Amino acid sequence: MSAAESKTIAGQGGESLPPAKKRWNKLDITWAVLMVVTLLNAFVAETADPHLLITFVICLSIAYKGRLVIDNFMELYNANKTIRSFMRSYFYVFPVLIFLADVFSAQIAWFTTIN
Amino acid sequence: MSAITTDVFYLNGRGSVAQEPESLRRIPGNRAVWVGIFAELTEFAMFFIIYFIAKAHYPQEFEQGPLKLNTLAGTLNTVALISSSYFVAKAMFAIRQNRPRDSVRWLWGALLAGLAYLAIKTWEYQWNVSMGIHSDTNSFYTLYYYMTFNHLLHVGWASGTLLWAIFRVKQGVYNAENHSGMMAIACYWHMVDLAWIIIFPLLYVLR
Repeated sequence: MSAAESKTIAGQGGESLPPAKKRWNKLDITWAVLMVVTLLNAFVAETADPHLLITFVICLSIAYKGRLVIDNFMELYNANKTIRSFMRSYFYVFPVLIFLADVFSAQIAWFTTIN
Repeated sequence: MSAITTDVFYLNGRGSVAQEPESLRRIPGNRAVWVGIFAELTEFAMFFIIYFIAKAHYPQEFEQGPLKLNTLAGTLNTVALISSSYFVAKAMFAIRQNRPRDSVRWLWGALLAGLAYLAIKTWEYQWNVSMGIHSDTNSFYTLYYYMTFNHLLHVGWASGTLLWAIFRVKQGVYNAENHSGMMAIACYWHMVDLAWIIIFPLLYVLR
């Protein structure tokens, strides 16, 4: 599709469509899910003791929240593949690194100690 | 054009935001803003790597540190930023539907959420001081202040760009046919939200 076609579509009026703001839509649902995950994170912060399983769950929640924002709010789901891949991989790599940093903390300390 | 119809386009935000034809296989906003976004994300990546190393060296400080922080403030900040990202996405939806007034309202909502973030963070810093938490208390709090203040600066100037977007929509420069500049601003704002999505659990949740 050309940019001109996109603009043509964008320029067409939405008169025949039902009012978008009257019902729950994908953006609303994304926001609600993000709120729930955030509150669950806060609950974990207040109640749970440190454990690898907790770290794993939190890492999953980071990856999930990042993916929701990238795909739905940032609208990268069908956008330029390179940008989408980089953005998505950021939220694969860092949750994994957070988990691995917990598992291999002694090795990281050893590796980064200057003797 | 076969798979994408005008109806599908206007389902954007109701059905699937991913079906927005304008963004299909294209760079949202413009190239320049993505250079900026990746530069900022690289900067935050450096912070995160420093966090991993510091946590490995000072495990007790990083286990005790989050317990003394104000989790309510961190949670409220997350709520404010995610909500502001949502408002910006709604503003984009509205401008594509040729509803500039609605778009401006959503942008004001996003800006107010950004300002709420700044206010909450200021309150949190004051609360920290009253609790004896300073940037030189230990390595965890040094990183905490370094990361959160840097992020706060990003929220500050990104709020300025939202104000600019409001001005441009009101001027009629951003409209249904021309809004790539507004999309660039939106993408930058979402990046600021994305950085916080990692910072919040690192500093307030994980021990």
